[in-house]
Amino acid sequence: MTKKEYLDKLTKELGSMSYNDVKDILSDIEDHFTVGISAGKTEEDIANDLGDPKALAADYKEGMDLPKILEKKTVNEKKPKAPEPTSATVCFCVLITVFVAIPAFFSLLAVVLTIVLSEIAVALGGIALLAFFWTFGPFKATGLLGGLALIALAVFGYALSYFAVKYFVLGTKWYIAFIRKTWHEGL
Amino acid sequence: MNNQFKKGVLDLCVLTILKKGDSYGYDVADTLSGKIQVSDGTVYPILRKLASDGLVSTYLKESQNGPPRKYYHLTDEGAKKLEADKQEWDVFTKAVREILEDEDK
Repeated sequence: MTKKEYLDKLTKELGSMSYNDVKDILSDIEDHFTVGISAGKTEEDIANDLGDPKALAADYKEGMDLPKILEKKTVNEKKPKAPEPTSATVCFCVLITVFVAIPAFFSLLAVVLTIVLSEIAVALGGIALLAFFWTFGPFKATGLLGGLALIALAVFGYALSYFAVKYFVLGTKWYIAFIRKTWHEGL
Repeated sequence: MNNQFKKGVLDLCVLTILKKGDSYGYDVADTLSGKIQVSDGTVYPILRKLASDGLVSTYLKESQNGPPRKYYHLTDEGAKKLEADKQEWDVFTKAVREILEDEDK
């Protein structure tokens, strides 16, 4: 290891120490290199004799009596594990999902699909009617009015289906979040 | 050598080295690692701790070659601490030796 590599490694290992402390420490170790070089040693030898920078940093930290909270956090800290759900929670979640949520989901899905499809059908009907009577002369006015009426209905239907889809999606999301929360936190 | 053994007595050794006269980090490290099997780096955290506890003081002194060096000086407080620790160490090692020799008989 060269002097620079050693100092870089040491800096990294000192982690959360204050800027001034790190500066002081690095200056001491840098001086050690300077004296060693003037005594005829190579950077490599000096670094070797200084010992592992990680161990040196650990010694410094130990000497500092830093509050634990300020020390550099280790990477593999364990996350607190969520408690296992109780059997009552499992029963509740499974039962409500199987007997309430899933039937409700498909019923509502059917309703929403009906609304959306009817809306499309009405709109297409309106356009078709309009196009048809436009082409064939005699009942032009009647056909025109009928077509326009259907198109107006389609616009209304469009608003209806927009809200139906929106609240259907929101409701589904809310339910999933609710079950997840209940599962992890209990009833 | 067992690390647990070393930890407790290195402070004592460093204080003793400085009692003989002021010295700079490299020199203390050299003296210590020449006698005990420790890495040169070991003395720096010790010196820093001793300085923050007021047992040693530091000053900069010009050197013939290179930048000024940081010298360490044993304070009165440090000298007192050294005496106390040394006595404690003597009593302790004597007791340990007696126990170990008793085991050999």
